[in-house]
Amino acid sequence: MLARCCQAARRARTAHASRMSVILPALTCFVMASPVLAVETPRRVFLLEGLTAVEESAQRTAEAIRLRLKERSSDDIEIYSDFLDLGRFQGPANEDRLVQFLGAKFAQVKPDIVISISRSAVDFVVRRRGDFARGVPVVYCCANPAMGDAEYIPSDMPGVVTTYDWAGTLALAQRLQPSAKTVVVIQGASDSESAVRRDLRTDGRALPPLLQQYETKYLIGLPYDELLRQVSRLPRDSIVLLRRVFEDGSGRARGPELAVDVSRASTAPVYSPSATYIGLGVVGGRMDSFGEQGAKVADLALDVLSGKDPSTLPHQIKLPLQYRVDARQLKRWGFAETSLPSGTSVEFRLPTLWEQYRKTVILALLTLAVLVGFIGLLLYEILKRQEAEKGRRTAEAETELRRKEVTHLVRVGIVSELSGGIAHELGQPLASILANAQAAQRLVGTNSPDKKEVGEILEDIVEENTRAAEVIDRLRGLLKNGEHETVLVDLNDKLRTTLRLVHSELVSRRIKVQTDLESHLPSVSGDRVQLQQVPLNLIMNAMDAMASTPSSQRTLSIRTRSTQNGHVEVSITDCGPGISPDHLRRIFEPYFTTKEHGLGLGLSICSTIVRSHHGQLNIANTDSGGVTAAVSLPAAIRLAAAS
Amino acid sequence: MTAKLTILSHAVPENREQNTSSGKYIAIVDDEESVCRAFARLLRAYSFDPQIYPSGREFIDSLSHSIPACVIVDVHLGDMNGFEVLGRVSGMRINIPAILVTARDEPAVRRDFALCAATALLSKPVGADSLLNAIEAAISTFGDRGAKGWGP
Repeated sequence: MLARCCQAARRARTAHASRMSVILPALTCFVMASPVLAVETPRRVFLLEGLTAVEESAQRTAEAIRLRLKERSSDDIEIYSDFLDLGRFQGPANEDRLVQFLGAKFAQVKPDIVISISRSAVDFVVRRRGDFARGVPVVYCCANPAMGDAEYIPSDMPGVVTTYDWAGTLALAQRLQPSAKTVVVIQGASDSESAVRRDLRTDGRALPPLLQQYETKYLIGLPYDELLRQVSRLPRDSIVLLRRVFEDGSGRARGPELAVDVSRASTAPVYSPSATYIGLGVVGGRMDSFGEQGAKVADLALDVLSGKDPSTLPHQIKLPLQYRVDARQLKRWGFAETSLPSGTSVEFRLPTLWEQYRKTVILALLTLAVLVGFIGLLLYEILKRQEAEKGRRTAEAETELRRKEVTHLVRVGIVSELSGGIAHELGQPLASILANAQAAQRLVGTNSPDKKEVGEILEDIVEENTRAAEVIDRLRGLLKNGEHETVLVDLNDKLRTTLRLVHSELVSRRIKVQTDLESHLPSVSGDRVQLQQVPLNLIMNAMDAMASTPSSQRTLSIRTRSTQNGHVEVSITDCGPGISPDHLRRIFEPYFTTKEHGLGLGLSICSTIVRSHHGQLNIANTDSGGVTAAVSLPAAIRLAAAS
Repeated sequence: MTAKLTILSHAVPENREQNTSSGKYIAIVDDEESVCRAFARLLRAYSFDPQIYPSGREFIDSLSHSIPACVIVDVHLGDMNGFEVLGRVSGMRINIPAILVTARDEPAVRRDFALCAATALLSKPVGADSLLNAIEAAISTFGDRGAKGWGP
């Protein structure tokens, strides 16, 4: 880094042969920032800093000015700087030498504006600018208000003033040390520090009343060793307020490193309202920042460069103050961050593992996160799929179960509706069997039983028994709530069975039946029980529909046909009054019924059954006023026939 | 009323015989052929002379030449039901002891039975004892005339 900066410095020297070599490599960069070959004359900004270039506050201010100028200016701007070290080189002779030196410089490269930074430089420029920078506008910053009164700083020098907020700084100390009894105020001893006393009388006027409740001790102008010895004997709970010190009691100039020494030696926390000392061992204070001051003065400089009259610009800009503390000092003294005033800027945090190895940590965490996320995503997907599958299966199983249950219940309902008829169906053969058997008993008991008659009786008994068994079979088939079983079903057969089931019902309702069943009707593939239920339901509906039809006209027509497109059609037609269009629309809706005791599920279930067999159920009014229920089912491919 | 008047106009056969074959003629009216046959066998075994009629119409037509000692009528018939058959018969001013049989023992059937001339309602299957007892009871009741408040 150093090598590169030195190299840069050499190049700069070549380009501007007679320019005084800059003091710090960092500043060389400023010079480098100005283009060597500019088409237009660049705007020249000259920084005059009263401190040295090794002071952090000076660097921060200069850097802030440079950044803001570059950020806001579209023009070429050349930045020049001199660090005058006025704290250590004082007196008229030194000032004369500086005037000569700067005058020579300005004669060669006339600045468009001078930015005077820090109290000593502002003091120097105000008094001597006529000698080396006549007619050059000046702006200033980092000077305190005790000096920046209207008399002292001319009205054509706009600038940014530093406020030393003693009250705010003490308030911070009180927040952190509520039980403190003693306040120690440290001040320097230089001539220029008469201004400090003035400050204590003006800006610091608020301090004495605040200090009334404390035992107050002023350490003013002590020799350095004595100062450090004194602070090393303070009670732990004391509050040390450190004023800017430029010179100790032995007359030696002291830079900001004084804060490091004092803080290290002190047995009590040290506070300061000076932004110079933040980061150098003091706990903190209420202040602005050099960065903000630099940025603000750069704005002023740009305003002037853009042609504004300096005397119309703000003369003493005060920046908003803020509590600033050093995290390392909080830790040293055991102060909790929670006890800080809200909005406090906690600076100089100790670099954590995170901060030191941020990139590595981020990369590791990112990799981990991606992996974990990926794994999580996979797991989630798997779980979701399993859940969905499970849910789907459960739902399907439930739906299937309900459908079966309801379908079964509806069948049971029909059967119970038919129970009278069924009793008749069973009662007839049983009556026949019983009467036959008892007749045979009687015959056999006689002397010469008619063997032929007994034989006929037994034949009849067997026949009637078969008939009764068939009835029971039909019922069992209908009442079975078993698994769906796909077999070849002959719909003609199912219709005949159904008609036998309802026979007695048909008789008692005086309904004539006309059947027109196509011989050699192709079978359909499906569930035996369900395909029995459909015609049964439709026939029962047809029978119910004819309740108000005159008995002579009650005819149930049943017809089967096979179609060209490989379907088998069953149509069941009644002679009832038909269905209103309104009802027809809703006829397949579950629970829709026009019957007093109906469930309203029959047709909906029929429709479901037919659809599950890939068929269609249509209900339509006939021209003659009744209703035709037409079932169309695909004919099964007869493998047996093919083979 | 119209129906009754019509029925009154029915001619009562002059040459009819009550209790042909020594009062053992029993008419069986049932549209189930097998049931008819079985009842007939049973009654023949008990020395009755049963005749089978598969419909109400055929039975009523038979009344023009012979009157049974008792009629056993199934409630559910194809053309007219058992009650209608009995109604027609009483409309012809013929008193025949009647027994109704049914395979559907339903409230409606019991209600109609209470209003008709039959003396018994038997549920199929009917045992020989029940049937014979019912026949006997029916015949003896009709001997008393109008036991059920049913007279000329």
